[in-house]
Amino acid sequence: MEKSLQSRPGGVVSVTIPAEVAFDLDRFGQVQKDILGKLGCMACCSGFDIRWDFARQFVVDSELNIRQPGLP
Amino acid sequence: MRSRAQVGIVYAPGMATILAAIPDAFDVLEIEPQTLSPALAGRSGRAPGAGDLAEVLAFPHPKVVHSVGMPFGNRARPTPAEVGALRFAADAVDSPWVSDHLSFNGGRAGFAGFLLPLPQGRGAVRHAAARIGWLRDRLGRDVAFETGVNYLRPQPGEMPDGEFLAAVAEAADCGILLDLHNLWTNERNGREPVARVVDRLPLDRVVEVHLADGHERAGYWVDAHSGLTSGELLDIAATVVPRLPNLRLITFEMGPDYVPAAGLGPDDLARHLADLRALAAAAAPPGPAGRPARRGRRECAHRRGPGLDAWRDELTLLVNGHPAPAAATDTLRADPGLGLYRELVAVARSGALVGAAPLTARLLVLLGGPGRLESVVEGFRAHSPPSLLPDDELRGLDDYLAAHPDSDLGVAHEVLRYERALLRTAADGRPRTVTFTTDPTALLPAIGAGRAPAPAEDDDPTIYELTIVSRPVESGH
Repeated sequence: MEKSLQSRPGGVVSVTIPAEVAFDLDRFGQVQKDILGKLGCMACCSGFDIRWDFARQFVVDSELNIRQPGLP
Repeated sequence: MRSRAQVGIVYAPGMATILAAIPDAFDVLEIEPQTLSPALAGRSGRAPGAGDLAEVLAFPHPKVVHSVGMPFGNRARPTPAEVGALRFAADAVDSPWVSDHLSFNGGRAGFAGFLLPLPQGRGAVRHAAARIGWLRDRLGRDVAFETGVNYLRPQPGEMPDGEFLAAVAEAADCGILLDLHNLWTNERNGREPVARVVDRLPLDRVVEVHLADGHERAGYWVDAHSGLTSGELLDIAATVVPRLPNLRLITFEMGPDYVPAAGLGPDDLARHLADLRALAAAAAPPGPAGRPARRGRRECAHRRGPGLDAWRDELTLLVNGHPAPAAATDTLRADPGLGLYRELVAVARSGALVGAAPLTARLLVLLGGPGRLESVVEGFRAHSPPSLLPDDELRGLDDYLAAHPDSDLGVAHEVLRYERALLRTAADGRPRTVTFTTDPTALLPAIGAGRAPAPAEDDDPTIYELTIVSRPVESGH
């Protein structure tokens, strides 16, 4: 991860990261980058937004693998 | 675009990788500009630029613009910024027509959180027709309306579905985007059969057909765009498409999140689109004009329906769980479809929230299981009315967490503010700084990897300032 860490007097640590790099922080990769577009309005759909189910069903197994339906 | 019907697919953020793998499987890309960026929704404070369309312009296919932000049943006209942004998108891709929905999305008190059906009477016909003409004048392009979903029962005295749609099309002298899955959804939920609706329509006005799939929920069939078009709906489409002399496009709609969830990949979509090409080949020969017929407006002679303002206000309140207004009819108050609408509004708001702030959502699950996420989001929804843009919903959650300080939510609040800043900086290029009480370079990857963060040491006074910078987004002006 590209970042710069800078100590400041008074116990303040400053971190600067480019937004493009920040999207790799959470291992979502492309899926996370695609979230950029979700700043826009809701899409044309009159049904059930599956992202809510995905978020609630997120689990981590004993091997620390993330199992979340819908994410590759 | 050729004069014979072609096959398109809706572009949505998250579909780029899939569509790039099957570029020859579709002829046209349908774009919903407001979903691509706040600037393309006319709600960012800056004019949209080519950069806002970069992801769709990377595809060489012809494109058609399908608006999702200014349904023709809304009381207020779109703002100059909203219309300007839509015109920018339509001009940028030279869209042969622009469509939006024959629905509304809020009342005088604000946004409803969902597309809702109009009262099917003369007032709604005149209003929608005037709004369609107004938009057509400002875009300088043909406009079509999409036939919508209606989860309510038929209301007393309202026009039948097909008659209402036909009256709007004739009064507006406009094109029709015939969403067959929407009509089939209505039929399955007890409204007018697709065949009867289609029989009443001026079929030479249909320029585009939408196909999709849905699923059952709470005893209803819902228009979820959750799978490949079913064989049953394809059979219906096969009886309708040959009757459409000005059909230019058959567009398949599927939400990107549903593609992997349904176990589908690019090849599955390509095969489905090939089936739709065969369907498109059965379209009626092009009409004499080779374009949607414009033959002058025809006034609606039908009786008046319910008052538009009252209907919009009542339904907006009811689907958001507020008590029924005194003016609401008994039929509307007792409509079982209201329960479904309430759930769909809640889920749409929650989905927008977790879609835009996935780390915050994941952290809440790590901290207290799905119940913790649900309780926070439900509390937020009760505290804050719906907003059109996810960023406004995130701001509402930010305010809610600030007003409900809870020791174990402190870190979640920090992560939420980080995600808000990250998305806003990525959208507008302006640097933003957020603070953490624990090292964000350890915290954020841990959440991403599914590990609960270690509790912060109480006696550690270190404050971490994280500044997010980005390249500026290209602006058109």
